[in-house]
Amino acid sequence: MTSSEPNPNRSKLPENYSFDDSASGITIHGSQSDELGTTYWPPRLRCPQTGGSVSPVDLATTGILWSWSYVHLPWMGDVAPNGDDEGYGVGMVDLDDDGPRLAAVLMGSRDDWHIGAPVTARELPYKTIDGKPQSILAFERSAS
Amino acid sequence: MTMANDVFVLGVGMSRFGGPYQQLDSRIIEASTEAIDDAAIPYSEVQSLYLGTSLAASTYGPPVVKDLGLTGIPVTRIENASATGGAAFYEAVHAVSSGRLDVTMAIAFDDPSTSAVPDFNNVEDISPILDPFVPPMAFFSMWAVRRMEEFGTTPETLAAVAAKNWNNARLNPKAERQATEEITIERVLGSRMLAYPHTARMAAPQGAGAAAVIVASKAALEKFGVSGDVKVVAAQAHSERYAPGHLFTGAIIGPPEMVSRAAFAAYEEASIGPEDLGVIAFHDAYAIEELLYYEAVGLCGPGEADRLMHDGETQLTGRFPTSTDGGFIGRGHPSGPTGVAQIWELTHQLRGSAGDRAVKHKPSNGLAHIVGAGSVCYTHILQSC
Repeated sequence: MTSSEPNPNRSKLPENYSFDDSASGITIHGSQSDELGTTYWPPRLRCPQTGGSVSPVDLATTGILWSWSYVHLPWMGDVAPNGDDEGYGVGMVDLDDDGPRLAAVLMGSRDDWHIGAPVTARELPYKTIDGKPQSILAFERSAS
Repeated sequence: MTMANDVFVLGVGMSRFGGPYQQLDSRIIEASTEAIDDAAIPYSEVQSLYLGTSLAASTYGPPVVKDLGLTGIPVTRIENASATGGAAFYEAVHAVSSGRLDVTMAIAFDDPSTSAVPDFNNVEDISPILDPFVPPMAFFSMWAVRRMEEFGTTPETLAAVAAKNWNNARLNPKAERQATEEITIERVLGSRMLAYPHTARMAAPQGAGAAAVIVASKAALEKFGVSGDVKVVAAQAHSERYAPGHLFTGAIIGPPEMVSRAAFAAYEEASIGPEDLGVIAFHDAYAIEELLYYEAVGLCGPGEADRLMHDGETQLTGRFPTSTDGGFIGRGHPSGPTGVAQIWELTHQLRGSAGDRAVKHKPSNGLAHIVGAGSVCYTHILQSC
């Protein structure tokens, strides 16, 4: 193979590389190591453990809160996740089904956030650019 | 990588960290000439220059050091986030250790007011990988909340770490933070909350600054007729290994495992153990870091860091004095020069020239630890001769 030829083993990142939201619910796009089965987020081009190939996988949209904090800074956008502009929550979430850990904004109130609490992924609109709403991946406490 | 030949710290220099800004050229020359004067050799003896900056525009640096002398030597810029200064020192050390060169110099600098990095307040400006919603303060605060849950660490303990570093900085004329009176735990806790549980006084300020160090081989010392008083006995550079819970987004620092691995590799290289350390410089950008790193580098066992702190063992009078120049929290963290400032401090402590902040028990070994987002870790051990 010459360097100008595409490598058939090289994965391509999806256009919307990390998540998308539709009427049927949110999807978190990840990668899965073809050799180990380990999953990663956001999607990787190769398996970070083996250097081998990965395949696209939809990750669990629920998980367990590993830790959290509350950032006392003005929200960077047009919409505050908690309805104010004082600050916002952040959390590290271990996705279910042996999924990866990711860091994201937390929705809800501080009373909702406890280590070990079940959380669910949500789309959080934060800004409008050229008339198009922009969203980020967020989590909130799962309904009991 | 281990060191094949002896390397000695010949000279150190640094500017005061903090404001005023827009004067980086003069700070670079100030730190560099101080190091050259300290080494007591002409600049023309320096065979290679490593410039560390993580914030400056791409061409900044080499034109400034022309004022040291246009001697035709290699000039290489190095960037590795917060660990930039550690990386520049590492390269200068290994160039000598390998036997390739006899005298090298690391000069590191930054001025955040002239930063060329993306504006983190402008979401459209940055890559999604540099997650603007989980900034470093959020990341480290989540470490702290987890630690509080697992080991019962309190905000008061984090405040005690910060107060120690603020008060050490009061004894360092080069520190950014120069409090006019003692900083108490209550004052730390009473400052503005940044990200729970970290308050503003538990976090590093980011002013401007420059620092420089010259290292030399044993042959060079003989040539100059000087006896080296500080030797570099370990120089380790590490990055992350995969473990469950690994994060791939944000301005993150890997788990303390990387720190531990780098430290224990350095101990092996230096043929010492953590019990032999007499002064330690940590990456304490946020107070939780210093506490976790006590355990990661083996100053105490898992879960024992809080007791080590409250027993006074990491004060200037304790067994393991840490952040003796104020650390990131007190001395400041311009980014690029911070790692070289750590070498400046260890060198003065090992020489016995640290003035009012000299540790009570004169140290034989000092460890400098610094990490950079991405993430990377540099650990050096210096030894008095």
